[in-house]
Amino acid sequence: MTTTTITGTPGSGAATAPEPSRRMLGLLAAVAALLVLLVLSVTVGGTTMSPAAVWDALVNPSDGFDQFAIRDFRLPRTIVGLVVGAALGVSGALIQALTRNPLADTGILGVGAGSSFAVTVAVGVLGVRDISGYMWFAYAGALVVTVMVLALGSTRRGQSPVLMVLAGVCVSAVLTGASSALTLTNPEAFDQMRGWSAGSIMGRPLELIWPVLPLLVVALVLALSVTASLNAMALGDDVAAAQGVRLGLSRVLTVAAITLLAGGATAIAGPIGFVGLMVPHVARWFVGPHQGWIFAYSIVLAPSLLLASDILGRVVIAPGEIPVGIVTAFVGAPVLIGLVRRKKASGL
Amino acid sequence: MTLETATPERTARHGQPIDFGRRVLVLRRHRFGLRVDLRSVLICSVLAVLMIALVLAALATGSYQLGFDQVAAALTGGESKLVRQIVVEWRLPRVTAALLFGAALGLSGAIFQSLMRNPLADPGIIGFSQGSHTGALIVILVIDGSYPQLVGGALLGGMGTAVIVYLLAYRQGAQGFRLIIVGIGLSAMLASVNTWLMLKANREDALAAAAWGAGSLNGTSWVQVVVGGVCIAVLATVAAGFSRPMRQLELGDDAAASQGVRVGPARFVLIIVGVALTATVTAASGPIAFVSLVAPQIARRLTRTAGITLLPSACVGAVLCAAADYFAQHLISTPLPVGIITLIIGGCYLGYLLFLEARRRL
Amino acid sequence: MPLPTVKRRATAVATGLLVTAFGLAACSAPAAAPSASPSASAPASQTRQVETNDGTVTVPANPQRVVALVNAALAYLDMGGKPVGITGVDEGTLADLPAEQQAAYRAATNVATSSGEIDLEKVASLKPDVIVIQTGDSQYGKIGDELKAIAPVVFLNQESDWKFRVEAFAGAGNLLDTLNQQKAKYQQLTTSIKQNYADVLKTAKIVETYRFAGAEAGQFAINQSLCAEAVKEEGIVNFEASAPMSFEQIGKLAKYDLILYNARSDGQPTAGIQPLLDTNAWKLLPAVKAGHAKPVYCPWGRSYGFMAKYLEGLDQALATLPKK
Repeated sequence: MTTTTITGTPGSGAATAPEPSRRMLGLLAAVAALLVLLVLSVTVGGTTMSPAAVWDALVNPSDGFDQFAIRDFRLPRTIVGLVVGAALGVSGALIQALTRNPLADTGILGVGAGSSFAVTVAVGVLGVRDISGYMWFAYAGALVVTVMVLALGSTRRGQSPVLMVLAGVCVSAVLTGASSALTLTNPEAFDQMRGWSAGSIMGRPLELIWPVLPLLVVALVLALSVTASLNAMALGDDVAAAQGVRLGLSRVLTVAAITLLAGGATAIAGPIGFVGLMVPHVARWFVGPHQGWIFAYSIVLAPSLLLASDILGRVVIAPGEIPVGIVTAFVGAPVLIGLVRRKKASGL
Repeated sequence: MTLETATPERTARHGQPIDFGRRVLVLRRHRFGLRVDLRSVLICSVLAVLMIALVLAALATGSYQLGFDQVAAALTGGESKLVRQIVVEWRLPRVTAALLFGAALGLSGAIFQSLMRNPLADPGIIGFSQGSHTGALIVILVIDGSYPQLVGGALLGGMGTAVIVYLLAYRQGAQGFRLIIVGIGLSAMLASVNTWLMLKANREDALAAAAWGAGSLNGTSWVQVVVGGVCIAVLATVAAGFSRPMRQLELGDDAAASQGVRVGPARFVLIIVGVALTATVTAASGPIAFVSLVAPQIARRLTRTAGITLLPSACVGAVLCAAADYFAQHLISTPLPVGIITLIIGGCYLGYLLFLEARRRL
Repeated sequence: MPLPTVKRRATAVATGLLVTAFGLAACSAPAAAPSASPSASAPASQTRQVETNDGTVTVPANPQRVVALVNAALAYLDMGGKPVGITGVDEGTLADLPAEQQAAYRAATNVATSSGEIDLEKVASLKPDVIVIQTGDSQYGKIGDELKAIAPVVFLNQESDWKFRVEAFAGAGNLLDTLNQQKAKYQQLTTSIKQNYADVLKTAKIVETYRFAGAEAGQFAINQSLCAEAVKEEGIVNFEASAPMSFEQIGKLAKYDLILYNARSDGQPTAGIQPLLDTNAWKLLPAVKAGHAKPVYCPWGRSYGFMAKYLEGLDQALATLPKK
């Protein structure tokens, strides 16, 4: 009796996803890098402090310039960076999965434009001056716009990603025009918006984060719950429906998660672009199309990118700083361009 | 010279009847033939009338109150020097620029949408608009240069960015995907630079830069119109020469090549023309949003053609831009830059597309 | 064709000082006196020559209708001008101006489109006798010729020396009397501070902290205001170079004996600087604890009037330092 064995040469062209063990190794390496960056973020800056000094500042609080710098600024910005980065990474992965477009970012749902418009109105028309004041406006703006986009993007048969994207771009355009009109005719609003639209994790006291944190946790839970559905939906609506995925519900939950995460991140730190686009996209190159792994990598790599940018922004023009929203593009874009030029990086 | 309207019912005098599927005008003289789409001609004529109406409206309205009779007198050389200045040196070049630049933008958008075979394509994807914005900001905020330097800076920034994106994406041929990614990366970096420059400038300079960034035709003079007009005329002629290859490329590279179109050079020339048209307008008046996105699609829907056509797109672009400028000046008590109105129009247009899509799916 | 821009600050300062010196040399006493140009109370048919960045311009000696545009607006109001047309001054800055200047502002027509751009037809419809404008070269390049068709234009660019600028504005608007009074007060304040605090100024380390309302969170700047620049040029206080600074670096201010911070005209901190004053690190600074942190008023515009107010604030601040 002859047995025919089907063999394939390991590493042949058909294999696109690395084996699970390599993915796990990669994830552990990414976590390690994040931990290193967390330490660096608290110690490095215009004045570099030793980890021992940081520990001392936390455990034995006393009055001192370095102590204040650590407790009032370094620590909060590290935590904010971690939280905001994770939120941006996961929301970016979600929108890319939802629209089946690896080049999507949350801006196409109008989240950024909604937040900006709400903050412009708060600052220009209502005279709110304090971040703790207009933070909630930003969150509310993002939520209202997303609900609008969801509504516009629904048909009788449920939500359609294409319609939602169109609606998002449409609403973004109108709101951006309205924001521009407002700021150009109101110099004080213009000034405030200049500062806000740079996107920064500095100067955000921890008291701002605590109220938002539960919402972000809820959103993460939602994201986890739709992971399996998103995996199925990547193969097409019909295949997903055949596998028992409830398309309408999954889409609504996904959009809810995206809004809570991206809205929260923008409300705290202002608009920070590029992180949500680049990190899930690059993660997909490394781990393949499995949504769970993409989330895992995004939730670790995005804060790393954000914290690394923040550290760089602090060091480059010390004692001044460059806001993190400006540096992320300079750190991320060369990496992205370098990766795309590698021969192995193939199409979408 | 024979004039025929070829429709299915009528038998042509020369050979078999050709069913174009729509009403066309066929002009033949000896061995030269010209086929002109009737509906397009009609639409373009209507748009031309609209353009004239817009010119008259723009000439007659403004903060300096003038009656129709005064405007007519000023055009023919009467009235005081100041009134003549206002009508002939301020209002007329402004509306002419709106028409001209709008046409250029419509043309540029038509070229890009045809080449990319995507109704949402825009010259901005290769990072051009961010680059020209950076160039302009450097001139306004960093070196406080003169107006010609501003024009040069915007042009240099835009073209330079397009070239860099192309070079970075080039690896034994520039694949579309790589081009898009590099364009996104470079745009993000330049957008960050712009935000930083705006942040560090003092308020008055930043406001002036923001007004430029919104796209404004305020203070347009005949010099700008003439210089821009010459460039646009040259580019439009080149585009017209390549309009047939452009239509053929819409069918696909292989189909076009089999019909004798030299795909590589044709695409290259068309991209250059498209970018140069946008560059001319951006350098003269700042980036005017959405006209290049919206005009070709509206033109296509009006003329009911199968693909993107150049002349109707240009006409629609001209009318759109001139109308937007008129509303920008007179909608609210303080005049706004024209770019804000086109942004809102673009949003409404996309909303309309949405409505159509939704209706189709229902 | 505009003159080439005076880019190098040294040349600009030298020119300005030369003009001022020439003007002062023509006077015999610090009291108000005619400047180097023809008498200010000439009949309306006479004209005056004014030096601008666009060449020498002939303006009517006693204009009734003046339009002050962009950055010229604040300085023009400060010299007591009553323009018929003006471009936007925001509410915050306006609230700090004296009542007469606020009234003059509100009485004028706002000819701005979105600020930074000018509605030319509105300016024309006001039928001005002279137009005064200070803006960037590129913006002026776009509308300069149009403005010149309406009325004589006195254009100063952003790099011109401020003293040269206000001379031109005053000459254009026939405000030379007020200008000379303000100039005299400014000179007197400058000399008195230099004399009374000669030792303190030599030994004390002084810094000015400044923060715009729209600055990004957690950042401020030192020695950045226009008044600080002017004071340094005048040789009164040897401020260090202006630099941006993060709130994390507040500790670096510990070495200073006197810290100035930007405030409103009544001495209250501005909305922009308040977050800096609220930090724990600020309250720990030795200068702050010793009561040597003092407000100074400096709007974003330079004129003798604003500078005099700044110097008064500086005077009061220096008075708190112990005499050596």
